[in-house]
Amino acid sequence: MTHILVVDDDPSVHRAIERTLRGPGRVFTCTTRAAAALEQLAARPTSLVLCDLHMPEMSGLEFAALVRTQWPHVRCVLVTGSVPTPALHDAARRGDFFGLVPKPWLRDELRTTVAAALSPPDAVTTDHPG
Amino acid sequence: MTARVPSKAQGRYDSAIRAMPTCRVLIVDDDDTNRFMMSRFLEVDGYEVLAASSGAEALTILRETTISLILLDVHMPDMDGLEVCRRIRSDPKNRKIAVVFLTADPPGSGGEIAGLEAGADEYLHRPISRQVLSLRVRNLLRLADAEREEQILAQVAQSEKLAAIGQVAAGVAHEINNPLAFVLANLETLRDYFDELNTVLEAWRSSPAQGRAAENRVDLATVRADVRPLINETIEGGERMRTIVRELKSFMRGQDDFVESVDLSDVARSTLVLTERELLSKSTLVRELDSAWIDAAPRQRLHQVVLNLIINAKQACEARPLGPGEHHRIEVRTGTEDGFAVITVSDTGAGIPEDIRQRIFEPFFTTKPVGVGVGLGLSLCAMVMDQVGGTIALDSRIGFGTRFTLRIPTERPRSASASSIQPAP
Repeated sequence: MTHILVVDDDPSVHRAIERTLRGPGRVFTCTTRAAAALEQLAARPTSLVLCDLHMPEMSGLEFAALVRTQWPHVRCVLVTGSVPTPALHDAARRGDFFGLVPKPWLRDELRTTVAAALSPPDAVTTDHPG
Repeated sequence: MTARVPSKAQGRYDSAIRAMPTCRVLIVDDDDTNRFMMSRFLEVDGYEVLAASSGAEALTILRETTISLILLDVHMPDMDGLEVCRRIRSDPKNRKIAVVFLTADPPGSGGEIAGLEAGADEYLHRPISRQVLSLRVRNLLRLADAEREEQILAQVAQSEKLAAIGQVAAGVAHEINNPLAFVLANLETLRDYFDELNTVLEAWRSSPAQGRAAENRVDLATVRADVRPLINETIEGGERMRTIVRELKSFMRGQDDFVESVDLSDVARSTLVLTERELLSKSTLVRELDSAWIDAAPRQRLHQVVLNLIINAKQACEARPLGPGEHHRIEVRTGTEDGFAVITVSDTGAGIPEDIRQRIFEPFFTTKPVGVGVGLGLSLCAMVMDQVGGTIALDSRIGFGTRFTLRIPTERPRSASASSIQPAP
């Protein structure tokens, strides 16, 4: 079972992402708040987090950095409707997140990025399995 | 704690004027020593000096460069000073250039009338004291200075407007991109649903058995249950985009200084709609927007004022980081009070140190890092308040936050110059 966690303050975006990515063996949890997402990560095995860059309380970058520290095997794909900032480039260089998908996304772009994020990490960059 | 903000008076634009290039002076003389000496004198006085050794050269420079004042020798080979002056004056775009003749002819030798008739502003005789020359030039340039000041004011307003548009554009892009993302994704899903429904329909046409098989294959139950919510969400997304565009139109409506009847709460609302997600997503936003009509005010300018105050509030909050779980609070309120339309914008940010409260309304005064602000926001606010006869006041406590209060008379003041900037009550 592949558990995908979607964090975005807009529920309509949850459903659009779920409709685009759903498939056999995939389960989605959607939340509008970073705090609830962290609870989910603690509560159940998660394969991938799709996270909006703009969130109340905690920015997507802070969230991704936190996920990377606490759940290093969970990959994070950021989704954003804003222009990339220097902070985003820095986070990319640090490897805080796996990929970046713009809003609006191209359907294939979203699907390909997610498929890549779900593929097993290659031998060089082995993460510690959860 | 309340700060008294100095009135516009002198000086508010002094720093802006200092930031502008100095006046440019052109010296035309065929004598190398004269030319060199004059150049030195005027350079020491702080002018940018260009020099030409003939009338023809002077006219070429004039065509290519903006000059404020020309110091012109009368007797030169080829083209004399009078002819140069006549040619300068024959072009209307040179009418603001001050022309000063400088001659070695003794006074009373008749050249003065001819020089002034040719259009010169002054006719001076050598030898001339350095001080007299310096003062003559300064006085003649006073007009040019006044004009430069007007240009600076226009530039301040324009660059601030561009900065504001940039902020709004970022907010609008974000506000549109979010619904656009799910509207487009939903339409692609809807196309899949349509194909699947078609498949099932075709299968039913072949035989009931094939129809039922196709229904199971495409999970018809899920498709049928999802079509309507999907369409509703998509329409809602389109409506959200329509709202953003409508607010943007309100934001951009009217020429810069076009004066109309304006509801301050309307100005605040559309500014917030366009900026809240981009600018204020990290803070708790409190808005209490009671209508506050102003008979005659430039809507565009008020939008810029409110936007600048909101941007400042956001940046003030960023300058005082909070612990985990704590949130900054930005409050925007509008209403009327004793014949005034009032807007307050308050934040729980860093606060403004007492020693700089006197300066924050000066153009180009900024405490923000390079690239964050050029220091025109509050000077623009003060300019607009002057324009509408309103007042701007600030309360600030270090480590607790700042509140700006703008009061604008609801009825048009008799004279726009009857304005003042007062301390908060």
